[in-house]
Amino acid sequence: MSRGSADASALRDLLLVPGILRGLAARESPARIPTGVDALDALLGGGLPRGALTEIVGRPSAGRTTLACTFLRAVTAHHALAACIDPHDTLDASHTESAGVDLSRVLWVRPRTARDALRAALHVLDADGFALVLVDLDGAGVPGVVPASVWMRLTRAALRTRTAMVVLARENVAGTFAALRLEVERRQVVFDGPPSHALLGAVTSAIHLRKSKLGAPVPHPAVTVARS
Amino acid sequence: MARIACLWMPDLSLAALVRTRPELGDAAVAIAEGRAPQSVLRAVSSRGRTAGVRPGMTAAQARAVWDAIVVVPYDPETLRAAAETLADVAATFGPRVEVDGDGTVFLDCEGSAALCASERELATVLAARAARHGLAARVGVGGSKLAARLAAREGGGVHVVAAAAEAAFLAALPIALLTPAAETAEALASWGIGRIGQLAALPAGAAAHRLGPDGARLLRQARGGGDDTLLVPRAAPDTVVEAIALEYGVDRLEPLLFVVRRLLDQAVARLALRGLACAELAVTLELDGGATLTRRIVPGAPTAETKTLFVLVRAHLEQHPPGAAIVGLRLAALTTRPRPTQLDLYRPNGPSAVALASTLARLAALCGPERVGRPLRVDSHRPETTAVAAFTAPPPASGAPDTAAVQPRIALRAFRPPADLEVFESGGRLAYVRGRGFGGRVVRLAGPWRVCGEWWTSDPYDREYYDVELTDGGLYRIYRAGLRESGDGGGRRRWLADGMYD
Repeated sequence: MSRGSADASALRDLLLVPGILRGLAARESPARIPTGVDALDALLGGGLPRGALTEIVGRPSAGRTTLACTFLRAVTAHHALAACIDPHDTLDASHTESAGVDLSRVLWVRPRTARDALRAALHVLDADGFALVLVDLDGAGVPGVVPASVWMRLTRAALRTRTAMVVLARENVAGTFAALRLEVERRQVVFDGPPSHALLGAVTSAIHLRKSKLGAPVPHPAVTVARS
Repeated sequence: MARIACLWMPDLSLAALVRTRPELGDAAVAIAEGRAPQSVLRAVSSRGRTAGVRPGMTAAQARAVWDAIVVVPYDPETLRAAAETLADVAATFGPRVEVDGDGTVFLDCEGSAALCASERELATVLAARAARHGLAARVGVGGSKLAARLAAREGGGVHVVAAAAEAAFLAALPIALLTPAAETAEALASWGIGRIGQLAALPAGAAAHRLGPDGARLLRQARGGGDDTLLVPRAAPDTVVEAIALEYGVDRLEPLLFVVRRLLDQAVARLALRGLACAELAVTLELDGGATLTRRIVPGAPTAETKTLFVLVRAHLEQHPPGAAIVGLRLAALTTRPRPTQLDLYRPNGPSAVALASTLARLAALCGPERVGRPLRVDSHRPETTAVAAFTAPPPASGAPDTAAVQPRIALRAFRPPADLEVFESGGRLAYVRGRGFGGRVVRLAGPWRVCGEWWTSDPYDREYYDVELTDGGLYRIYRAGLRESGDGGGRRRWLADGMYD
């Protein structure tokens, strides 16, 4: 092994130590909710972080809702409560239940505007007892300029109540207030069977970790998850 | 030997008014009873008296004397609430509490040495607690109700009459404090007897013979005798009532909520005095025109928090506006013992029942009650199977959490209502799909598969479903509706998209 590659390896190992990257003191990593998907847990450093805002972004049909349902399933499987703030009224009970989500532990709120959705999220966070608050800001009506104070209140409330807050959108909406940003990209769609009798079989998506304010960078900031 | 404490207000009706409306504390106020314009003033504040307004005037006369005077309608509920508050304050020291007809409160404080170092300290604490609830009560302690009442009345603030000094204390007071009948007072005045001590020195038999039963009563009271040491303990009511009557109508929600908040603060403070919580809140709105509306609000669990009750009332009023100006408000909190919550050691704790109820009320006010709940899968073959049910915290789960590895499933984002489509076919196959906000050439598709049912009802469905991948990158679930569902008499079947795979 050359001297250069040995140095690079040593530097990489050093960067994996929490707190080294920005010269900060090592701080306690937030508690995680394991998702049950090994590759995803590895990417997230153990699971969905509590007390932080995680953003899921991507194009329509990329797999963002599937990822959100995975988080919902993980929370309800641990007998905790989750809230789904759904201003566009898109939750499908049949598919969500098929994904393993315990619907009796999901509070479904359908505000009429994206602004009300953020207000509703704050109300739910104030209740202090929901493990996950999912806010679906996909589609039209997303406020272009959400005041930073709104995101600050939401992130502070999430931190205070140790709630995992997840925002689903087409692009970055939470800015600097997002602790994690996951970008979902569809890779492949498989239709099973002959063309005349084909069925939608599986969709494969890549999940990129575009941003992390929680500890060290991940060596492989993307995973591929297949769903059927 | 009996020891009785008395809490007395110089003018309870005015004090009760200022308790609910502190902004009138320094104003010239009069309380009028009866229907305008014949309403008669029943009490007048000191500033009103200074201006020349007197009880017994009509409201019109009072305004003629001084047009700046505030005339407030008499509300017996407000008065009763103030008297009950005094009683609740007294009951913090012992259960034997009597409320007199005029709102004066007596407390049997015999044996209070275990609670306070001295009777003066007890009286001072009682006065301070009453003041904290907006009532500047005077407190007197004596060996009988009469002595305690007169000590409170004549003492100026806190006054304790020692057992040995009671006769001397009473002797110096005017006979008028014993409220003699007019004839008796006239006879005593003609005899030159004006003090209680002089009356007590008269021979009992001769005085009773000349003055009649009223004279005998006066003599007995002057000598500290009779059944004046016996209290009739009140039965503590199971509701805490707070009320307010307004001389103007409130037709907007925000100002009304200020009034609600104040009444709730008072009700919750009284609950705290009694160590109880509110199990149900009845809100009675008196509308301009005479009608009344009563709303019952039940929190998720008994609570003694103003904020929670306020959120529930606010949400209720926002959802069901009264529709007319409010001229009176009454809150009745049904009391119960607070229930401590037993937390689970091994499972995640959800929100407390009170916090959850409060949150659901806020969300219902924000989004509408029909848009808050838990998703429910309807037992039907119809593809759109999502309904909403009331959200309640599920019971604690038994068994260990499910931590098994899972394979994600394709999720569907439903379109509600289904989006209308334009579909172009080429060679018998779907070639191009265009909907509002999306569309493209069909890259690949699966289907059709037919779904039909409920043909025996007025709302049947008969559809051909496809999964299509379009060049815009979207994966959609689309269908061609049957003729009856399409509602087109021209025989054209509609194309719709009811979801997008994501």
